[in-house]
Amino acid sequence: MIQDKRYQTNPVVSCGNEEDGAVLYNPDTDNTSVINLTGQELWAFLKTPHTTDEIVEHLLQNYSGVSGEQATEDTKLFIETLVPDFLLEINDNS
Amino acid sequence: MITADQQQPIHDPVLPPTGLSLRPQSVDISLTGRCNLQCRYCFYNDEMVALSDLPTDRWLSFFEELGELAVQRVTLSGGEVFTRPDLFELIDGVIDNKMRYSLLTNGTLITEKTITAFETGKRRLRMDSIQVSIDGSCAAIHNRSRPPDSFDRAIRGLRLLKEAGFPVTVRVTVNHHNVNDLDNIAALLLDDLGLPGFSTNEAEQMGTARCYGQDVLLTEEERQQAFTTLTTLSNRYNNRISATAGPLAMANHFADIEKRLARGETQMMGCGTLSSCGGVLTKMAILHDGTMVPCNLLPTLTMGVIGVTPLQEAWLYHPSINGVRQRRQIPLNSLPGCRDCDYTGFCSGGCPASVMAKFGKLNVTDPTICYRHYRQQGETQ
Repeated sequence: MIQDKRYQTNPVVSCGNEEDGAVLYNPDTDNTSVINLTGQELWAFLKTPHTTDEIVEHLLQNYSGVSGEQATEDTKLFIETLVPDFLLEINDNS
Repeated sequence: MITADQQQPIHDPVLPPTGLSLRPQSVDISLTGRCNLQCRYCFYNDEMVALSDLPTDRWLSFFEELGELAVQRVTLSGGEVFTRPDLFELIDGVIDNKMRYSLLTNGTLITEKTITAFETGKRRLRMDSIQVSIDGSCAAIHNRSRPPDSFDRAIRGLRLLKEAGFPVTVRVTVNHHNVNDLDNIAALLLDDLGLPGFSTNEAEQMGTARCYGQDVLLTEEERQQAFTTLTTLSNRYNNRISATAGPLAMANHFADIEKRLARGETQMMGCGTLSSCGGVLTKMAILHDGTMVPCNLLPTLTMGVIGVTPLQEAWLYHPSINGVRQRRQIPLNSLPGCRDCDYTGFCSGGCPASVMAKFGKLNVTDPTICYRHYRQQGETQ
């Protein structure tokens, strides 16, 4: 079940913060991804493993005026973008 | 007397350009001034003699600083990197700090033992490339700019790397001794050794080449010859020969200009100012004593010392690197010698290090890459 999976940052990935977001870089695969300020917030949150529900909840708590539907969409996009590039990983201990 | 139209715009050299990343993407690091060879065109020779190597712990602390900044890759060179007994410890320091790396080497110290040492941990996984310098198709030519035995040992190292599947590349520095050997070099590297490609540049008037002068540097006629030969070879080998500087880069650039002129174009994106080189927007360099510089070809433009000056502060605010970056704001048609040139829209002025070495200043153009000069020469021949 996707909802039960716990996601966390890949510890080999570096996060270079810029003024308008950050650049994630996996030196093992040479993959890079640019994230915006919300992505940067999620990146910091996922230093410890969390489920998609927890990520959505975190977004709702930190960004007023965001609907549950929007937070779920953003979380899904974040995960679907970063997991295939080995920037975010699924925590096997979940 | 300078008239108003001759005045160059003045820019604040302290401010970084808009949009500059908060860190360099990559850093070129000379790990040592020691070398087992004494090449006759070594650009780094003056620094090798004058400066001392840093100990292991200073480099490892610096790699931690790079890791915290999220620098993505480093290029490790010397001197000769394989003279450092702690090289693999340093490579592991790079890996531990979330970076990839490349190595520049003369290849002569690479043995089976070296190949085995790369198998540990992520040393192979994180390697972008290992570049070996080859300057001739045979010992008689390669060794004219290097000590005896260099060729055989470099080729042995190259073969070992190739056979073990390393991402090996070769750099050929075109000089007075090998300008007639370029066909044979291409055959050796691409046909016999089966490399996917190799890159070329040109011996510059820096380091030991200042002493040996025309014994190693190309004359204007030789540069023209290299220009023609490398163009032919590049076509013959389906662009497996590349260059970002030197005769082939110049040939490719001039061919591009001629295509654009034929289409009635008057300019090329990124040209018209002293916009060469863009390297200082994504990278900087460290000399083997820890001195930070914009580029290891610009060793006199110091920006502080690692472990003393924070790298990010030097990267963003040091006038030495911002001065090189802000050359890009200087229109070529404001410079003496270029004012009446019809081709400034296709020109970026040439390598800042090259003009610094030739003229002792940055904000001038390099006459060796001048398209107008090239055309005028063609008309007189």
